[in-house]
Amino acid sequence: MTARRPRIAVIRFPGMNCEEETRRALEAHGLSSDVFMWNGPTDELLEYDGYVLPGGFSYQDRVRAGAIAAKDPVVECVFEQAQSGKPVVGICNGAQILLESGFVPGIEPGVVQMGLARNVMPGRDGYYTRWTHCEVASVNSCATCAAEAGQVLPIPIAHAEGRFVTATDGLLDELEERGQIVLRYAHPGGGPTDEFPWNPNGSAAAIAAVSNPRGNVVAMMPHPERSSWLFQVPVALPGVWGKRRRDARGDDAALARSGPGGLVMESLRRFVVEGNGGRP
Amino acid sequence: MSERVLLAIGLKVPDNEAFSALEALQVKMGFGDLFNDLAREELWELEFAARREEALARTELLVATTNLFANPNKHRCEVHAADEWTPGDALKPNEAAIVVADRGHPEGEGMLTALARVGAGDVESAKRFVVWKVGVGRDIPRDDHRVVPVIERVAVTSSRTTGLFCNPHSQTARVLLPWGEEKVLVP
Repeated sequence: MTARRPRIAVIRFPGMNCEEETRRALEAHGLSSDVFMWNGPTDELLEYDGYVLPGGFSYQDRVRAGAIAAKDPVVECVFEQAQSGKPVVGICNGAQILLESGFVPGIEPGVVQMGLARNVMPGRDGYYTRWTHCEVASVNSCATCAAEAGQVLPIPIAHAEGRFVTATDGLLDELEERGQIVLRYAHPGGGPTDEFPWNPNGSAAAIAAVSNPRGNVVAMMPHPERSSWLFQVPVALPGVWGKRRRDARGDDAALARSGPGGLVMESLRRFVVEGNGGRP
Repeated sequence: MSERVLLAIGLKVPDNEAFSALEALQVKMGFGDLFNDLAREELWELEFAARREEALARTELLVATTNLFANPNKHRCEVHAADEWTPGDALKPNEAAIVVADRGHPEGEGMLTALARVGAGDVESAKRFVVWKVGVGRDIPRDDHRVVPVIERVAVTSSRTTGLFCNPHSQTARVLLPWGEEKVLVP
């Protein structure tokens, strides 16, 4: 008898565009996944074991990225499910929705304590896309419990508003102390940095992903679904994963293996199956 | 010698972004008919090392000869000296303006780069604001204690259900009222 695969709802808001590849990446890592429309029946949403808010441009980023989607009733339903301990991962636009909703960092639940501001980059402005190197700063989250602390995961970013900021005094220190900073932009060999382009948007404390205090809700700007298989990793990428990709040239089986972003999907699976990822 | 010029840009065609924001206020946030109109303008503040007349003429020329600020097929533009005009001057008696800007004006750097490419390297700074003009069903009296607090509340996002136009962690906001008063909500 095979164990039931955890069911994850990938919630699609109007204007999102990463739901299908996110669903495929989840399926490839032992999860059962459906794309769930934002205006679907919420009683059906309750049947899922976890939720992913994917990337894209919900409501065309009108007013501010994630601002209008955060007002949709489905978000309240996801919030209630997260309160019961189910995992929620917001990727890029999904992360913007989670911050605009006050789910993350959630030290005061429901209060908006952070923002994702426009990128700050030397001599340029606007949308920016590149491979980043994300150092795992905490493994106490549903997005990193299968990773090792300090591990460097190459994952691409693609956004115009991805700079984690806060006007709340002492919040960054508190996030650090509580272990809520999940991923940090780093050099290819590790070591968080504020230096462009390794920190691609000027994010405070080089933050690439933040969780709520419990670790079951994570807002991350990089797109793990775009590095979920080894074949997605560029051959020229520096570091361990680039070498793995080069070594796998011509080997279809090796190229089809899990990539660095796959660790996020595997973490989500483990978090559901083992409860809190097997951690107390 | 330095002169600041304001460039107010609105759409001639229906503004879908304003429509979505109004729908969010009325339906998603439950304000119903309290807000019956919403218009949006983009406001650029350009600073020149030049006299007023020259700065105004340079801005008019930039609008007419480049597409950096506006497309004449769908936008309308007004150019004003910054110390002679505010977006509050154009308010109707039933309107208030919520003026939002990204803190530090990160769009300004990209605009300065673009301006330099078209030969306007003499623009010293560029700041972008978005002006949301919210309309209520009746004129707002000067001594109003009910509508104005609601407008201030929808201006700044503090929770999932409260506020829309400004995230106070990344943006600034001020409200302009039809009788000329200005309130800074998020400095």
